[in-house]
Amino acid sequence: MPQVRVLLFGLGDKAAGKRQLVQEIGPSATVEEVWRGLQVPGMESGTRDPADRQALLVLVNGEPIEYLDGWNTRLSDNDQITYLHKTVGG
Amino acid sequence: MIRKLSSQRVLNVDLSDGRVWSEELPLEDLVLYLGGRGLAAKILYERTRRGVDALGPQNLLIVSSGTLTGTNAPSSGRTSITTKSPVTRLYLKVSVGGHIGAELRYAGWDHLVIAGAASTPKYLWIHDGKVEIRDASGLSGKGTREGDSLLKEELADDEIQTAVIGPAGERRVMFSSILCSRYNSASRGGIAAVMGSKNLKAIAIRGRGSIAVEEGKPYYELASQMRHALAGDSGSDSLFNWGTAGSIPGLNEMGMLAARNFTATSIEGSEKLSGQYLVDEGYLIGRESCFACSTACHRYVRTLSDRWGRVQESGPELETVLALGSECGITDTDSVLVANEICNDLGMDTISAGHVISWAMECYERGLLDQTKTDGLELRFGNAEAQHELLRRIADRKGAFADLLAEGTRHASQEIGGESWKWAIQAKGLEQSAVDTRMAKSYALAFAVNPRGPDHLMTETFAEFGLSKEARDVIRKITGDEKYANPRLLEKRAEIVDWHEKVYAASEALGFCVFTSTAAFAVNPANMAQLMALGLGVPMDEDKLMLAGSRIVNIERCFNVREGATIKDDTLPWRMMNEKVPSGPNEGMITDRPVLDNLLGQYYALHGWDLKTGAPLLSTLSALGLVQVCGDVAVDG
Ligand code: SF4
Repeated sequence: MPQVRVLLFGLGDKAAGKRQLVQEIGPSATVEEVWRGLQVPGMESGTRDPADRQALLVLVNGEPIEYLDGWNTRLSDNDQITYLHKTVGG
Repeated sequence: MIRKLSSQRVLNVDLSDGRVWSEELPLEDLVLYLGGRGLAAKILYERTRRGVDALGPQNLLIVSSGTLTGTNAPSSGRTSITTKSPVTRLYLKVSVGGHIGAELRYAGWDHLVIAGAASTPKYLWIHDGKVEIRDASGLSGKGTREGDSLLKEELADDEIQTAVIGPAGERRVMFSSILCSRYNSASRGGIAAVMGSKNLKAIAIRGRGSIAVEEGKPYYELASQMRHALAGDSGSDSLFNWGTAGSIPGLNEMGMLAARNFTATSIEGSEKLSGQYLVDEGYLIGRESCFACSTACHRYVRTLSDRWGRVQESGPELETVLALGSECGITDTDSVLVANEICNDLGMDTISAGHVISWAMECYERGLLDQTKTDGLELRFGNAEAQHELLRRIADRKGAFADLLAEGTRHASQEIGGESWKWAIQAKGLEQSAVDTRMAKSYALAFAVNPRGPDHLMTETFAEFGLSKEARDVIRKITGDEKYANPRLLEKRAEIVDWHEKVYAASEALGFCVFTSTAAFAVNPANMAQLMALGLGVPMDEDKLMLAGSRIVNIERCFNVREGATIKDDTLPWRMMNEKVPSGPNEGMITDRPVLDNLLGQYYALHGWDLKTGAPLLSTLSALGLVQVCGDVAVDG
């Protein structure tokens, strides 16, 4: 079975909390499917709603999904997916 | 005293002979240049001469309130400070938050133009229509925190707003800063060295007057709508929750976190520099706001260990944790809070201070410096103790090495020699802020043409990343298609920079924080123009506002042309153009000379500037009505 590494930043109890999981995926799985299938204790349930996804920055191998195929981006074996809160300002 | 919002009253102070006088600027100028940063640029151009000594009495230091500052327009309390920079020897504008702009207006003036130089240390006491030039010998050598407290004690008023320089400004450190309203740093380009050269230690302001808008009800209704829209913008939440340093995790994961003097793109332990970590671990004890802002992105923090000394003061911004943290190879949270406080108290720009030291650390690691040359400091990446000690020495210019670094990386690299100039991350003499311009092309172009040097605080083109719906909408508005919301593309970068330049200029002229218009996007040219029209009772719309933004950009450009700047100065640090991104998702990317030249060509053509010299064409200035102001430097065409 192909596997992906999932990194989650600040989506649990702690704003700076980092979790790392390895997830098995089916053939041609998408970022969306991986997100829906995540089982992480303490993760904010609100962020599962499509509207709240606007607040998420999602990266596949460090690349924002906005430059790929968005939530429909297909994943391959050994890809790394990162979900974190969007931020602005410098 | 109640004054109209449309008033543009200038307080002139000549510190050489103690003269003080007021003047009222014409309303037509306010409409053409929007006030604030815009009118300050015009005043600087018209009232200084070519080649004016930045540290001489003929240079001006101009403090300008935003035109809508003093009202409840959201986040509209920003103040511009304008002068000629001693380090770039070019135009310098610094925008600062806090409350001094509103206080100046309530005290009876909208701009403060300081000329001359006092023979002994002075401070200005501006209060309710009165001005005094007072003895500041008791403040000399004091840090900015103590300076602020002593002024409040001497004037027996805790409500006064202050702008204070520290020892670094007094000693003319080329990256010294002015601390305003105690917590807000007016930094970049050695602005405080100009104040120090005038022997002006501080400005204290107290105003009990008020400002009246023309059409009160619709003005306040629109301001309130804008405030609500801002609260709903996807960017505002993160600014409140985690401050600007909330971007650390994302930058690290995207391989865009500047580390070890731009030789790495991420760093182990980066989370300890993040705004989220400050919240989780209890470093954060409060959030601070500038005047009329409910976003409250500023932090109030404390250290949790005694290792580097105790601090309980204003917290670090994103650029600060990058410059004093990752760029110096340091990820110890307490250390960065202490380094930030050293800089703020002694009055130094954290971006340049951090980058001067990260450059010196790279020289040390490469063997170009050793302890015999650093006055005994072991300047390895990660050595926080050496960094703190060096910061203190630089502010005091204590020892030959610190004295050299106090001149900035351009000068220091010329003295140290070898290949050290290649590792000096500067252009025009200003240390680049910690944005990797190798992968983000609008940023690269904006940094290269920035009149004060390469940083994100004249034109930030964050929208080009297209990471929110609002950002993609902005890119669609500018280019006609949101597909251009991708920082790696070369197409449409000139248009994106041009739009942001004008919006930045207009926002700052009116007093709006650019986080509201170019990071969050709820404040936009249309509603800014509408608010200005209602508040001042003048005709204003989006097109007129953008045209005024263009006037500001052109006057600033003309100032630099008059000082001898050419297209050669529109450049980036050597490393940014010659060493590819070494690792991470953007590995191998570069904005090299041919790419930059291509972008510059598009940019000059769009602006109506001469392709050979970069100077504005006469026809361009004529179309903007600027021939009388700065046509003397225009190129025929
Ligand atoms: S968003 Fe931050 S910097 Fe901008 S006005 Fe508000 S508190 Fe000040």
